[in-house]
Amino acid sequence: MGVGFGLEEDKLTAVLVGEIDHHTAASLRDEIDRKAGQVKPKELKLDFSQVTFMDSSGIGLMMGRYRLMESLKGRLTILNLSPQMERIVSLSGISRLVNIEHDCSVEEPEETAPDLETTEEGEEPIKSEENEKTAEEDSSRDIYSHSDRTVNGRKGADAT
Amino acid sequence: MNNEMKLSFPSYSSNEGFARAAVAAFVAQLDPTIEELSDLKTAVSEAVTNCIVHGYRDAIGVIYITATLSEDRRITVKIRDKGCGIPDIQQAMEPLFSTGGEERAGLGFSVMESFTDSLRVRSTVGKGTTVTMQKKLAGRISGFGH
Repeated sequence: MGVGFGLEEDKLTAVLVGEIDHHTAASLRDEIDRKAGQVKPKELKLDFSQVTFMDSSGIGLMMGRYRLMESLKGRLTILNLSPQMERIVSLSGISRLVNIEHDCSVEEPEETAPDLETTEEGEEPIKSEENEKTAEEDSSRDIYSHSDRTVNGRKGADAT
Repeated sequence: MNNEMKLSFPSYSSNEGFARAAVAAFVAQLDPTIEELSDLKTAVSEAVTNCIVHGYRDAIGVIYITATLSEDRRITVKIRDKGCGIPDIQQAMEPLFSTGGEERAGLGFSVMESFTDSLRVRSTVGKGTTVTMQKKLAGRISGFGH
């Protein structure tokens, strides 16, 4: 669990890695606030593409960073939420306050056959290896990629 | 005998990930989709966090999880604490209502309701709170052997 930072002019990007829950949110908050306090960016981007699990503690994290950027007279952008995370965000109403975007800096899928469908803008590329993992292998982390496969790798019933 | 597991552990926040993983590992035998499993883990995470942040706010207590799998692919998860209890359950379940202080969004119950089929909350002030959630998994395609 950690944060990687990128700085481009006055835009600070924080790439969150791992699980975001009540336990991990505290240290994520401290790391981001410390960096933002040093850098004082005009825009803070929180990139969720490497987040393997998030509950509503992630919303608290976003809200706190929104207040931070307000105090810096800057703006907050939320990047690369999975469909699961977007469901939680939509329960919160925070999308009225912050920009929610997807960008193409998400990892490209591995080389596959040339007729691989390109995704619509805003969708996560489906990573085929992840779909084959069993629940046992993943008991310590979530896979959030939208998939109708079951955890044991079989094709499930109609995708929800 | 019912296929039921019981788990108990102290309310250290470092156990939140363990609680999610334990329930997921138990439920895996029903071959849920990745989304269904993720929904359940999220709901469990919210309930366990409530025990830690609210039930046992100023101390460490024990959190009890019971999960039952039924033959019609229904999962029942009960998460219980013996903490301070909720004086007004209806108010506590209002979205965005929080007594949790710093950076709590007040969404725990909303998420639990949204990600499971049913949610029941029982609580007595001074005695504790029990949250019971149910989720029925989608049917398997025929011909699936186990």
